[in-house]
Amino acid sequence: MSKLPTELLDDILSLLPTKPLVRFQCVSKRWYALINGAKFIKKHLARSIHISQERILVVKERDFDRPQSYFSVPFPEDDRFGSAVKIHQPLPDPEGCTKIVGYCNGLVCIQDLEEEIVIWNPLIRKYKKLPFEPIQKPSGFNEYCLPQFAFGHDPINDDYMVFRVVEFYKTNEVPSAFEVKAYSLRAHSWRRVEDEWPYEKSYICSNPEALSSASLNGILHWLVTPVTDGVHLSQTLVGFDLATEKFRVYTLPVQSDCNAMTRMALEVWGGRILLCVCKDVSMGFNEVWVMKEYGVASSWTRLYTIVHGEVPWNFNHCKPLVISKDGNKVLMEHDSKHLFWYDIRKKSSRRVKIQGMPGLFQTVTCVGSLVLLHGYNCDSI
Amino acid sequence: MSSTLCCSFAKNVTLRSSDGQTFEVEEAAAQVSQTIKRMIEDGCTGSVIPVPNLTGPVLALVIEYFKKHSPPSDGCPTALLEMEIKDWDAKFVAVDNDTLLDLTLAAHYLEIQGLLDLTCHRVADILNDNSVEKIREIFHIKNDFTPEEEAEERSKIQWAFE
Repeated sequence: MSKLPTELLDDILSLLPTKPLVRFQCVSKRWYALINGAKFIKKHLARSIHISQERILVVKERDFDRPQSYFSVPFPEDDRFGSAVKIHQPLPDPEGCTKIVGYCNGLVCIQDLEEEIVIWNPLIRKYKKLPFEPIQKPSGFNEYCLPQFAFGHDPINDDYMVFRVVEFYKTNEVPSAFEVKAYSLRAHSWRRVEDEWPYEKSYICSNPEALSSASLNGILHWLVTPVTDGVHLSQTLVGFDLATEKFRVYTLPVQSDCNAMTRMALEVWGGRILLCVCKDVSMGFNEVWVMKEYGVASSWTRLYTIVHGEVPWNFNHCKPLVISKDGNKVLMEHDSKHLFWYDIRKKSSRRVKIQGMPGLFQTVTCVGSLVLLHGYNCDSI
Repeated sequence: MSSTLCCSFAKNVTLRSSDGQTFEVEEAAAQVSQTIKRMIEDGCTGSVIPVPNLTGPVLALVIEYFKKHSPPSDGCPTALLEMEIKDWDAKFVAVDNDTLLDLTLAAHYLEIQGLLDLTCHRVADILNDNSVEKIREIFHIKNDFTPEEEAEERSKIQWAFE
């Protein structure tokens, strides 16, 4: 038997999950070089995203009376969930309080209360710790809100970025000065973003059950409440293009209303931005909108609405995690307590039981990815 | 002028393996291979088409694949037929490892996309289930790490062996 040509070996190996690939680095020097090659890592990721051959839920314990552990739940098929297995996160305190900043391409970005941040690939147990970046208060401002972080991928430069927005304010006033900095994994350093924050006065909206930002096609997104003359306006979608370093603002299909307790959150699915709206929390009214054509406000389309009574249990907050391979069902997390599949067409639901899940949790999804296996001078857990 | 129009045996082509065995096969079936299709379009049908990368036994298997996958003469394939072909495909690649790798290479050289997908997935399944040592054996790979180098590499990724 003659030797498999490199492009053929490449094709075959890109079909494998991450764990055997990590192991197969030991087969020979040729296999080691191939698996660690930037081209292969990219090809494997593209296949992994396209055919969902390897997926996990990364689950964070949310019960603050308990150690804040992380768990991994494999779900190779829509109806096949493995048990939750405890995994070690790389921050200094392995059971300390953490926040998930964002996730993409199999990487999860997490921070602790000291604002230590890591970019972490849980499937291959590699991570990169970000350097500390001080906050410089502009003159005349004595206070600032907790920094808002976001995590995303810049496809043009194939770089991973962490973004930090600090909102400065004068005592009892609305934030009116903004410091925006971007960390590049390639450069392993922070730099100041020159473009001005699009509002003179505003708040970035954060929601304890959901991520406060979403990354898509090299653009990071936040939900922002602009403030004019002391009046809180309806929320807008602010995007930041990682390649051009420019902000943009998009209108949302739903008006937010502080009195009606409308809560909104962003998610990304299949290359599109989703807006999840929970109106009237006590009624558990939940709808999800998709921006069908990126950047076109008129293309916002309602994907589905769940009204009270349609799901046989009460819920306050509900967040879509994954769309099934056939596109008909959505995996939802509700109230940080349960997961269920919601069938969009039949309007029916079915609980998902996973062995070993914590009582209160937050979930993000990861595809099988070798990003961080090679380069970037990463550490191993 | 296209040679397929003037030749009385236009429907068949002859393929010759690296060890000199010849096989006659319907032209339409052989065109499942993009490489052979191009050769036919370039007017190679009159003579024997050499397939120097394949031995006789492998070429014989590939021709079996051609016959099963040649476009049906009466229009669209039915769902039933597709299912039958899928079953046939699964059995076709349930062969010993050396034959499987030969088929993978044949699909690569002859640009038979369907067979390439089929064999690559089968090889990937075999890889997934086996140890590093077993893979070296299956693929006839020489371990060019020194024992120290290998031990060091393994110690860094101990978890992947558990």
